[in-house]
Amino acid sequence: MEHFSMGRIRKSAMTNVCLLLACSALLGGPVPAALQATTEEYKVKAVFLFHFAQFVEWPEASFSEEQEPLIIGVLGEDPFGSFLDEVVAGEDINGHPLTIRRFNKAEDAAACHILFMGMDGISQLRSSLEMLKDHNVLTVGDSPAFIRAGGMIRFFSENNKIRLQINPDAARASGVMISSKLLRLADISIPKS
Amino acid sequence: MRLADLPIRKKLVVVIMMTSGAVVLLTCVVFFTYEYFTYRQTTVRELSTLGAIIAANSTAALAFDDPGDAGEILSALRAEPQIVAAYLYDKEGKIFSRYTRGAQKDSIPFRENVTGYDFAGRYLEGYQPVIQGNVHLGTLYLRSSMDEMRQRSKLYFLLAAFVAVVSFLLAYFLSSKLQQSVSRPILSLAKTAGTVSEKKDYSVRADKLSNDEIGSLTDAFNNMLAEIQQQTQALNVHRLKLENIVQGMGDAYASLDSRWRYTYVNDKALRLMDMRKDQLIGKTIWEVFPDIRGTIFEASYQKTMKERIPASFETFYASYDMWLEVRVYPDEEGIAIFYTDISKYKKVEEEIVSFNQKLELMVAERTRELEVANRELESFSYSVSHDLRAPLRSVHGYMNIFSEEYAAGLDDEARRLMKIILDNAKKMGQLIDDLLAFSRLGRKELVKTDISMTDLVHGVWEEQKRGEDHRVIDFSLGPLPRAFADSVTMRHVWSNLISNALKYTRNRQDTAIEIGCVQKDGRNVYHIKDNGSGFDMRYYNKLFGVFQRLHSQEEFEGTGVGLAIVQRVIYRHGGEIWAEAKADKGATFFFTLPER
Repeated sequence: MEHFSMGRIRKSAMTNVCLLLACSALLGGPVPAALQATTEEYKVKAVFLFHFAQFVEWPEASFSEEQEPLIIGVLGEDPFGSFLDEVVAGEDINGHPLTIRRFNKAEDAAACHILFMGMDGISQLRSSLEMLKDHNVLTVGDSPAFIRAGGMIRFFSENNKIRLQINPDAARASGVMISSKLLRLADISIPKS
Repeated sequence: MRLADLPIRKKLVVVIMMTSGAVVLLTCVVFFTYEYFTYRQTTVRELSTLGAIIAANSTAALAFDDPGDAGEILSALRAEPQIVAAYLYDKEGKIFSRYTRGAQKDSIPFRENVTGYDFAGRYLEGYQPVIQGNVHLGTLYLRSSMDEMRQRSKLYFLLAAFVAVVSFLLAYFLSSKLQQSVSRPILSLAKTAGTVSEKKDYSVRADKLSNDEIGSLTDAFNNMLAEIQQQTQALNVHRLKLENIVQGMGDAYASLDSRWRYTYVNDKALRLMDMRKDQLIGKTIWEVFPDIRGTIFEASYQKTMKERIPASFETFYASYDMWLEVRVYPDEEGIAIFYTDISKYKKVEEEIVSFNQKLELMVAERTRELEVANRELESFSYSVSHDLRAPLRSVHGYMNIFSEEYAAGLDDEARRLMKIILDNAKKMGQLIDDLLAFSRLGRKELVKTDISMTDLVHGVWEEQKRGEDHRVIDFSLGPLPRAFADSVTMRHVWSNLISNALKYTRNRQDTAIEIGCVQKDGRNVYHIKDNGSGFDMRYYNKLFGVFQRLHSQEEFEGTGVGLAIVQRVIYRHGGEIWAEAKADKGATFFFTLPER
């Protein structure tokens, strides 16, 4: 985990993290260990979410304007806190500024480019993903059933490292192109339907 | 050895070799330099391309924290043996993944803000940012060994050296072959020239091997040889002629060069010196004849040699017991000496001299004897004449007395005979007087003074013409120069000549007498011309003789002493006298007197 801690985070982001940690230290409030661990893990996942924007291409139609923001959405419970906002603050991809939006209903999240789906229930996931299927949304989740439910990218842990599982067919079906570089790193999983 | 002194064959080869060598060397250097820089450039470009590919491939590994994948990508560099190290740093500068080859153990630290590739020692190394989109994900470091370049350079160097050696050899081979077309005609020409100058054989001709400048040179050379041959022949003919002349002439002849060495001696000279040619030619005259040092020989030779003027002398050369006439002339190389053996002439000359001396002595003696005899004769004739006068006077006196006393008693015949006796006695008296006068004049001392001939002649003429008043005489007296003579005897001369002129013109109706003087051959020639009876030149030799007469007593009276006296006076003055005449056409007498 140490290896990860500040690893691939850009300077601005890192400064933000430092500030955050410093604040909590100054406040003297004891941070619960479980929460802290989760936070470390989701920090990495937040950065990965940001990086997905660089290795994925959306069809032209997904942006109505040239400088329309690239939206990273969080559906349901937000495990990132404010960290995701800090990571993407001031960043842009090919002229599209990155924006974080949070949704409660899947139908609202259709305008997202990347959507992190925090829920666990397979039926819930399946219905949500079904809804987003026809939109150009890269769906990301960490539920073990995420790919089976029809998700595109799933985080999973292996040897204390966050690894990726990808269903390129699902992405292709939604008109989202995942870079081969990214595919090379990931476990390719195509569920039998 | 300088390039200019090399034989032309080698010179050509050297020039071609140097030229081609320089070209090959320059080409190699340019090629090598070009290769070196091109290779460096290519290497940099290749490495940066490789870096760009690696960096592009590494983005996902960095972005999604997958060092294993990065390691996999870097390990692909195994295919590039010259890449000895590759480092992938994350954006914090920490080593994310690395690949090394061989002994590359030390870890290479990240260097901030350094991009691009550069040569550092034995390596080409550089940093390259890893960027995905516009997100900086990390940095790639690559290090490439330049060993290959070194290998390559070595190979190139060997190749260049090989090419240089081969082209050098080829150039040598080609130039050795090709130079012949240039050098062969020159060498042939040089060989011919060598033969000519060595053997002096001008009949040799050079072969013309080409039609270029050397061909023209060969032609010119051959023409020159022909010219020389011709001239040599002409010279030889001339030399032979000269040799014949020198050999054929009567004199012994030797020529010396400027260092006194014999260069030529003719046969006469060899006979004279009694030597062989090889004993003389090439030796100096001082070696052969050391005895002429300090003599007139050496003095004359030195003078001619130095001052370049001829000299000649006669001397007795004791070594040969011979009189020599020696003539020395300067010539082109030194001096020419001609010797003539004049011993014979000298002997004859001496004989002539002694003979002449004897002769002179004899003449002087005879002259003395003659003078004595002459004086005796003169005094004899004087005394005889003088002594004869007394008895004659007695004969004449007593005959006179006899004719006066006894003429009356004698008959006419007796008186006629008596008269003849008297006339003859008188005539004899006259003869004796004249003889005495002649004799006196012969002995009389001459007192020479400066006299006016005009005055003298004028006086004599006035005196003489007194008895001739009845005659018509055309007398002309030209201007006469003054003379240095004895006036008394000179008066006798004019007196006799003028009286003769008057006497022998007596029978002329018109008498013409001309006296004058002309300058001839620097002498004053006096003359007296008449238109009288003249004489026959056949008897000229008797004209000036004593008692010699060309006319009878009846025709013109006279004793025949006058002209003898005139001649004697003129002779005693040292002058000359002569006459020109024709019978009955007048006569002219000429005489000269020496100047003072």
